[in-house]
Amino acid sequence: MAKMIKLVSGDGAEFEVEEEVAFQSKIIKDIVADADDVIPLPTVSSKVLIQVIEYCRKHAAVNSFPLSPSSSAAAAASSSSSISYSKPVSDPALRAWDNEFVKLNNSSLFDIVIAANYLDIEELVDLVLETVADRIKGKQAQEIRRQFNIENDFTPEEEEALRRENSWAFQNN
Amino acid sequence: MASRSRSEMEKKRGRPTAAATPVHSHSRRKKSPRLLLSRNSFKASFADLPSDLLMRLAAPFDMPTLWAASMACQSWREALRPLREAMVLLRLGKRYKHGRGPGIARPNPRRALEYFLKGADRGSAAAMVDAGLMYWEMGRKGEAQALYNKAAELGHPVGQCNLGVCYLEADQPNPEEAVRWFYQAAQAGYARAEYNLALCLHKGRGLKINMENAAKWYLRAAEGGYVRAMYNTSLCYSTGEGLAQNLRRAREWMKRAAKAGHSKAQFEYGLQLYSSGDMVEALVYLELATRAGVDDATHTRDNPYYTRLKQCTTMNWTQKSNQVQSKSCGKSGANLEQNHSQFDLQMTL
Repeated sequence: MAKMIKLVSGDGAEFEVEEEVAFQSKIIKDIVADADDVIPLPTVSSKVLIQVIEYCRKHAAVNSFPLSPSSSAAAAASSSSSISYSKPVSDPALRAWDNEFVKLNNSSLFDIVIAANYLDIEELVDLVLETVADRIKGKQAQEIRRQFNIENDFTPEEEEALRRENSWAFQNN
Repeated sequence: MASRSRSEMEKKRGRPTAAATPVHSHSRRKKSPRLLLSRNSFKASFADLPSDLLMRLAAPFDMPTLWAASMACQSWREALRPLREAMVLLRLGKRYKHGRGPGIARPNPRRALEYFLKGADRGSAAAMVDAGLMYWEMGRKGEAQALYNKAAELGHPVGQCNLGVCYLEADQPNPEEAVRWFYQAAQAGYARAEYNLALCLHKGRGLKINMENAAKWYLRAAEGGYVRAMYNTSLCYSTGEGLAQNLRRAREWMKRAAKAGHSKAQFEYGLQLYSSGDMVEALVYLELATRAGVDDATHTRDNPYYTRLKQCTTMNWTQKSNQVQSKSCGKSGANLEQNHSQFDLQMTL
């Protein structure tokens, strides 16, 4: 019988998860080592915690049961690359799942990366940062602000000065 | 007024007190104290992304993207300052490496490395890669690998690919680890990594031999502009190895490889042109291939037809068209396609 850990979200909801799932978070792993099975997470809302647990559940399962080449090939049929790969870390089926997982709006992604950072779940942090970086690449400042709902807190003079500085920076490239 | 709403919001979010929170004494990354501030709404937004996360996110950015991100808002501009400085240092380093730029008379590898390392210190993945390359070229492979590793962890495809090569060429090769990094970089669309991955699948290094997948990755890399992959893709199409045999496509890829400068492809393409009667153009490519040393390829050395052709190519240009039209060189090129060149199998940093 798998050992269960209880996580309590910021709004008081309780979530019981298997130990191996919860241990995707290094912080939780360390706390439980100090003999404490109920872990309050006041800065993480239920909505975000559910998503984080979903991620951890998927990744815990993969880490314990490496997929055989045939099943990974079948699962990866929809993704563009069908490479047979035995190591679970770079398994294309898992990667496809990850790509689906991050098809969220920027607000949700923000909440998840903050929570994952807090809980020290490195792979999830990397995944979200990578996703966000892809949404930023190749865009102009104005587009970035619109995408991520960022307020422009530069004064017009500052913006003009920055633009001049940028053109100088690009000139000698 | 602003501070009042901030503290209210913090209360709502249940800002952890020292007693209630798990203690993060062992967290590897510094967490920004500005975590919970909001500005335009009660919900925190990406403007409040902690600076260490923003730095990680932006580490593999190129210059235009980094500058655009820096102009998004004040906090981003501030957080990304080290990376911008790193970019400037990186650019200086490149100038010293190639000996080009205002006030730089000749290449200065020592200075170049110095600047690359400064850029690497400020968190630029690209600077880490360039510094690593300098070390590698100096024979300091351990230090090179360490830098590639840092860049690879930050998601820089070139760093990841180079790290893969390090693992393959180490005294104790670790092909599984190499392939893992090639795959990451290949996922990012980096053609050279796609090629290296194909090669591993082709030769069974770190992975079981799988020609079908190898060919798929060769094709990907070829589409990405990698010349060696174009050549190998052509061979796959022509022999039906890993890809359904398709001579038209084989010829098309061989042509592209030849035009991109692949010397063996130039030889093959030259023969193609020859057998289709395009004499002058054929000789251009055959000459290019000969000069690149392809005539030393052992499989064609004893082929009398080839020796005849070689004689044709080393002659004077004005004489060529007459000579070539003579019947002695008139055999069809079909037989020659049997003598396929070896797949191009090389890995470079």
